[in-house]
Amino acid sequence: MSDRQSKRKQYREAKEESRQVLKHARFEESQEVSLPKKRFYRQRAHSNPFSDHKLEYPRNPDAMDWGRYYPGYVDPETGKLDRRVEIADIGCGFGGLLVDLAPQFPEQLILGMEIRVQVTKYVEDRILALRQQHKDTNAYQNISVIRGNAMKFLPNFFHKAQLSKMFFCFPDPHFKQRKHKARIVTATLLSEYAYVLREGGVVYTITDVEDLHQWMVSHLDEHPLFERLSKEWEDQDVCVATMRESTEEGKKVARNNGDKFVACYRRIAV
Amino acid sequence: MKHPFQKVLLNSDASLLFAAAGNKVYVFSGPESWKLVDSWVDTVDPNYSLIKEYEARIQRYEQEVKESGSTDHRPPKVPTPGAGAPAKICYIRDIQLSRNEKYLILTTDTDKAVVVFEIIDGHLKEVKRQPLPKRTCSITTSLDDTKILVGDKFGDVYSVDTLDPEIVSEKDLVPVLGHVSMLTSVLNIGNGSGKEFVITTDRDEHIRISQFPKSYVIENWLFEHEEFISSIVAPQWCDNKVLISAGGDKFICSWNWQEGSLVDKFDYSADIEPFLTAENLAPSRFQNEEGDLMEYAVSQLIQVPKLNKLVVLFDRLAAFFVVSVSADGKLALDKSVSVSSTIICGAANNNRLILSVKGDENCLLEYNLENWEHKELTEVYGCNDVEWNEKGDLFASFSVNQLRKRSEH
Repeated sequence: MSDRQSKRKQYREAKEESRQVLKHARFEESQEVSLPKKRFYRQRAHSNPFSDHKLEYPRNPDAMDWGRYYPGYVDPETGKLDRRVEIADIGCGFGGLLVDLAPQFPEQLILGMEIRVQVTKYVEDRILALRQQHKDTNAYQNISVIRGNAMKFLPNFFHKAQLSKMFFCFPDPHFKQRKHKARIVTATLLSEYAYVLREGGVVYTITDVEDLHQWMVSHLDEHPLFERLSKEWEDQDVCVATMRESTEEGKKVARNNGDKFVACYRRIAV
Repeated sequence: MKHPFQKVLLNSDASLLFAAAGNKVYVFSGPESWKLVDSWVDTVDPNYSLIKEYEARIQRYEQEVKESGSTDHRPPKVPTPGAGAPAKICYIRDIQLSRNEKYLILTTDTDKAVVVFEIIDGHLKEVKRQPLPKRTCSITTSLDDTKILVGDKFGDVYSVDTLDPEIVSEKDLVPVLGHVSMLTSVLNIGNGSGKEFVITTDRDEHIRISQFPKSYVIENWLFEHEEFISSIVAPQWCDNKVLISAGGDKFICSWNWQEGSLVDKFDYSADIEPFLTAENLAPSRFQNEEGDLMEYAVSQLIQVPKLNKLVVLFDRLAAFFVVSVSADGKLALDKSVSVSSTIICGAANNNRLILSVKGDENCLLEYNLENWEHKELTEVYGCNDVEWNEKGDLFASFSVNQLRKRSEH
C-alpha cells in the first residue's frame, strides 16, 4: 500500500513539474508529453459543495485571467483573450465531454469546472498533453478546466448572458432527502444558471439515476425561465449525441447496459 | 447577571423602543423618559424540533399498527438530550418593523419561526407565527408590507404572507430564492419608478440583486468585497440609488446599485487602529507568529436620516464611527466616538441613538445626536429580567467575526 502511494506521489510530483513548465511556455519545442494515467489521480467521488474549500476564484468576471487557460487565443496587442468562454461543463469529471466537444466547436471556448483537486489536475494534464500532441493543428486550444465550486461562485466567472450552453452530465445524485440542496440542479440555483445563460442558450442534463432525472425535469419545468426541448430536437442535436457517448460515466453506464436519461432546456426570455 | 439586549429597534419618530434580551422582547414608550409598556416571551420548548420529530415518528408507528394490526417495531422513544448535550441557545434573532410601523416582526430560535405582532398603543398583539425549516438570519418586508421575506442560515429566502392567518406546513414552504451560502441580510428596495427588488448578501462576499416578486430573475451582482458581508443599508436620503455594504473587510462599499457600479470605498483600517484591544486579536489557531494579528469587522450599519449619516458599529469594539453619505453615495468619516464598553447593537432615529453594550450593569446608552452627549438608560435596563448564566458562552453566537471563512482544504 505504502509502495503504491509513494509511486502515486512520485507520479504526481513529476506531472506537477511538467504542468508548470507547459503552462508558461506556449510553443515549447520537442518536449514529448504523454497522456496522463487516470489511476494516479483517483480521489473520493464526493466533495462537499458547502464547505469552505481553499478555492481560487476571481473577485468578478473581469478580474479573471483567462489567458492562462486559453493561451492560444490571447490577443498579442491587448494581452487579453479575443473571445469569451461560451460553453461550460459543470462538474466535468475526467474531461471526456470537453475533449470530444473541442473539435466540434473549434471557434468557441469551452470550460470544464470540477471541484475535486486531483480530478481537475488529471484533466489539466490531459489537455496539456493533447495540445502538445496536436501543436501542428492547434487543436484543443479551445478547451480548459478550472477547479471551482460552480454552485457558489458561477457569477464570479461569467458575465450575465455570457454562456450559450451548460452541461450537467451524470451529477452526484445525493439520494438522501436532506442532501437535496447539495444537488447541482435546484429551483434556486437554476436562477443563477439562467443569469449566466443568454436567451436561447441551452441547459443539457444527463443521468443514469431515474429519480434524479425526474427531480431535474420537475425543477426545470417549474422554472419560469426554462422551456423543455422536444425529443426531436434532442435527436438532431450533436451535443446530445456526444454527451451520451463521450463522458466516462456515460461509457460506464453503457458497459453496464444501464439507462441514460436526457433532458434539455432552452433559456427563454423573462 | 442579566442578559444584555442583543437587538434594539426604534420607530421613525423614536417614540417606541423595542429591545430583545435572550428570548424576550420589551416595548418602551418615550420620548421624554422610557416607560415599559409591554413585553413578550417566547415560551416554545427549546427542544421543539426533537418533539416534532417524535410526534411524526409516533404517528407513523400508529399508522403502521392500524394497518397491519401488529408490528415488530417497538414504539418510538421520547427523545431527550443527554447530560452532555450543549445548552440550547434560544434567542430572538432579528426584530423589524413593517414599513407602515403597524406591525412588529421577529424571528425565534425555538421553532425557527417568524412571529408577527400588531402594535396597538405600544402593546403587542400576536397575529401569526409561521415556523420555517431552518434557523433564520434576517427579515425585511415587501414595499407594500404584504409579504415578509426571511433569509436563513441555509441560504434560502422564504416569503411569508404578513397577515394571512393560514400557517403553511414547513414541508410545503418553497424558497423564493437561494444562495449556496449562509445569508447575512435581506433587503427589499424600490428603484423610484415602480419596480421592486430584493437584495441578498451572504458569507461568500456576494451581493445579489433580484427582481421582486419575480425573484428568479437576477438583475445583477455587486462584486468588490473580499470577506463576508454583515450589513447593508439603502440610505433614505439618496433617492433610491445608493446601497452601502460592509462586513469582514477593512472597507465600506457604496454602490449605485441600479447601475451595478461601485461609487466609493472607504478604508477604515487606520481609523479603527486606536480602538483595537486584545479582544480583537485573531483566534489562536489563525494567529500569526508574532501574535499580533488583529481581526475586525463591521457588525451593523445604522442610518440616521436626520443627519444624512451612518452610524457604523464594529464587532467587539468599544467605539463607533459616524460616516457621512452624500446624495450620490460618497463616504467620509465624520467622527469616531469611544464608548465605555464593547457595543453589541444599536438603533437610531430622529436625533436619538440607542446602543446596547456589554457590561455588568447599565448596559443601555442613549446618545443625543445633536450634541453627542449620552446618558445611561438605567430605567430601561432595570426592566430587563432575563437571567444569563455566563458559563454558557452565549455571546459566541453574536460574534460577527465567526462568519470569517477559514478554509483548510
